Amino acid sequence: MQEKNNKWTLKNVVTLSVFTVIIYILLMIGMIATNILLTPVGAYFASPGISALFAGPFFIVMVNKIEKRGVTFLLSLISGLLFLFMGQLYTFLVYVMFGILTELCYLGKNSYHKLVNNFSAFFLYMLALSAGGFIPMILIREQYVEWYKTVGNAESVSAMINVYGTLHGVLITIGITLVGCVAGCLIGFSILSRHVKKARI
Amino acid sequence: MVKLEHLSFHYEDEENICGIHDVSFHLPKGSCTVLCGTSGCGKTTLLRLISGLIPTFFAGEIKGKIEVNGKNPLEMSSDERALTYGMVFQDPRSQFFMPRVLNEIAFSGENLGIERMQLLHKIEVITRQLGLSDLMDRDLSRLSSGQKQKVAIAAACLLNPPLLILDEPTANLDYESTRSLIEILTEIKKNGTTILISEHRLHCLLPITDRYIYLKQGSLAKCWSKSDFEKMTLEETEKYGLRHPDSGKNLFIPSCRDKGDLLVGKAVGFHYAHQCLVLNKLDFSLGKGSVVAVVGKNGKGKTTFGKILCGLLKQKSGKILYRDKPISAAKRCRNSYFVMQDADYQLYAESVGNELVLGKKVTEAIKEKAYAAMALFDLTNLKDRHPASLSGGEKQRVTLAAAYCSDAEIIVMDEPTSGLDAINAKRVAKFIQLLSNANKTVVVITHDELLLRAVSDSIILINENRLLEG
Amino acid sequence: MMRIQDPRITLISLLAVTVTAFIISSPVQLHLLTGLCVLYLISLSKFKSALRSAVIYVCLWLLVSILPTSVGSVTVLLFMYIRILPMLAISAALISTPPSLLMWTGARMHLSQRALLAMGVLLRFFTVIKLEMQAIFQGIRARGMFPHWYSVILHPAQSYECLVLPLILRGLKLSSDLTCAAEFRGVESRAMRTCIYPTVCSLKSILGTICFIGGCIMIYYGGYFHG
Repeated sequence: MQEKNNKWTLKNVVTLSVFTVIIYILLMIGMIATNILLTPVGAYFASPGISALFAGPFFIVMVNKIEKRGVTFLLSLISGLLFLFMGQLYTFLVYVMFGILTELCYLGKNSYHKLVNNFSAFFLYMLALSAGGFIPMILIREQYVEWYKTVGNAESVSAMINVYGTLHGVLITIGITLVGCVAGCLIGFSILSRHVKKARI
Repeated sequence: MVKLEHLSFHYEDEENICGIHDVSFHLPKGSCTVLCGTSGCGKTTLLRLISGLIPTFFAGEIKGKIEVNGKNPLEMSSDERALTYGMVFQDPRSQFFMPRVLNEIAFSGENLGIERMQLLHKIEVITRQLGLSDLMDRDLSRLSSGQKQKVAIAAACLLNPPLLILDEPTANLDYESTRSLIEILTEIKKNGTTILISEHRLHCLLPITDRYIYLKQGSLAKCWSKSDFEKMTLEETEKYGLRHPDSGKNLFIPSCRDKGDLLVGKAVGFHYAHQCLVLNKLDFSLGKGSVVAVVGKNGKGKTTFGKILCGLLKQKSGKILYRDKPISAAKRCRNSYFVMQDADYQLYAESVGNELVLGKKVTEAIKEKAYAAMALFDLTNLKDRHPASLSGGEKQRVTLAAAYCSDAEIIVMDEPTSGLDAINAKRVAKFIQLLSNANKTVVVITHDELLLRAVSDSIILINENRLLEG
Repeated sequence: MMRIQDPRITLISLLAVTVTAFIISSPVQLHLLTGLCVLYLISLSKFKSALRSAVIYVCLWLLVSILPTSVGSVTVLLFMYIRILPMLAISAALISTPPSLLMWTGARMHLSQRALLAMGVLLRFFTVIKLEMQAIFQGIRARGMFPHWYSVILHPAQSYECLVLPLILRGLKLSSDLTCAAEFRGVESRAMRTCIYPTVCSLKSILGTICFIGGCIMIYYGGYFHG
């Protein structure tokens, strides 16, 4: 279906708000559950991927229903603001940055209905959750480790470096997130065609 | 106040939903009109047209003319719409924007920029009129259905709109709450507000109604004055598929009742966390294959009782015995089926056929049972439809058919005829009888007198946390 | 009606504490910052929040000091919570503000009507979603879909769909219903939004916030010169 125009309607705003809350809560539940079941180390690696498995269908349905320029940026912005209210200034900045990148995934006609575009955007959105950890380790490693030492003991600093600062750590995180996003998006498209479109909701 | 001239509408790409064909009528200022008709006759479509929701939110082609307060609804600005219409939907939950009563009532006024003291005065007036003064600081999610309905009306009437539209306002209300609603609407009508109601329970609205408009397949088929409608006999009313206070009187079908009690409760008590007692020392017994109706005022514990029977909630005190042996909540849950009031929470498959066999290994026997259930519950022609695309009554039939196919011995149904017309309500009574004939014990939580008369072996009244067997 | 501090002042305090928590360089500074936030909450008469924040902060530090070294990864999490606790304390004060007042504040900050509506729906929906998920879980149990606790593990695909699908459909239905309701509540009105709550932007509030920001600056520079 062609995009009719890019003007946001009242319904688009309400749908964005409703689904953003659901996606955010699923991210939180994913983080908490993986912290409990897999320890914080396991959670760091696995929580974006596991959250993506559940949040994927909501992301796909929301984008498909709204299909307007700015939908994923606003999703990222609102998610970032919610993290900011939890005191995560850095996470907010990362989400805004990644939000801009997600919008670039939707260039081209009918992009809001294509699997590849949606997957790319969703992958970037979910990666923002862990990017706040490994991006500073890649860009400003020494300063970040010094900053981390200011409130933390030696064991926590070395655990943080092992998790955020090694190549295999970063690749494992990206890999699990990728798998979770693929699964989440495929399930989302399946739900979209078998249920949402069939029921004409 | 409202003028329709040769109004026609059909939905775009929706063959299953009835449109409107050449409807003309005029609602005088200060009058109260009730739209009636069988399910799917076009009442909701007509309300959407009058309120301007069509074609803004529902695509389709409109022909003819609509005028509300001298203006076409589509030409109204947001402010004009908020000042002209008061809208109360059937489900208050999905129209509340704020968590507390005071904030919800004030919402429209704040949006329109009404000065603070003036707004507070308006809130005081409307809450006094509707008897909501004690509820102002309460959380909306903790109110009863009747209280939520009052809050929705208060929020809709805050700005004294000339037109108040209510879509099935009594669907979830008990007798007392309905009477309270009528008193409120009487007061509102005295203020000069024009009222338009879409409803199935028609006779309770007689005190305030001036006219009944009957729709059939999208056309205006009949128009009755209050006195003409009041004089209609049971037979005449049922000819139109409408409800009558005596509906269901001749419909009682004796149920097949096995001897012996299936489930017995002794001194059962329950309370929610941080709340006062909901159920207190209840004794009850349910016979195998019997149909038991549970009645009582809104918020007195009927649904809680139903959930305890099904094992969805565990009783805080007392015992429940299954064939004279104590049974845990988990075991009761495995042996029961609870049909929720809102079927949306219990439909998961992509077709009606698949819904009936969901969760089971599909053998020939299961398939046969599913086909038999579809035939019994008039679902055969809907076999491939997605359950979410069905009407409320059709969804209800799907969940009943799924209950029929299940192995559960006890089936609890929460307000199964809420929002249904007379024809579909009687159908539900017939389906309940089918379940009873299949030796399932059916517990029906209901306000509906038609259903009570038609189908129950016994009635349990829950009043002030206590259970009085009747 | 109780006067409530203008949320913009609380927002400024939140930004101040967020920046300060980011740039401080010692645990002592963090203790002082948390103490300052607790005092701030007390000044707003939010005694329960103040006590809760203080108790949680002390408990987290105690946990960190008694946990063995082999659980290094758990301490990563604990230190993260310790670091964000001052912000969470001030955020709690902001979130407890009535939504209509937050929307009024947004209007004063020249946010669009659509953004205000999104804010209102977001705040409302956090409580609604909890009720919806409870109803979905009850619906699943009520249908006898997974009679035993391990049934969920034996049928993961079905469990997943039974959880996700009703939530998607309810989300879409609620969006639709809320939008229809919003049409009649003047949400797109161009008038300047008002609020039933009298807000306080008094000299006392402003001075209090200035003192709070001053306290944050002193905590930072105190550590800077000491370190």
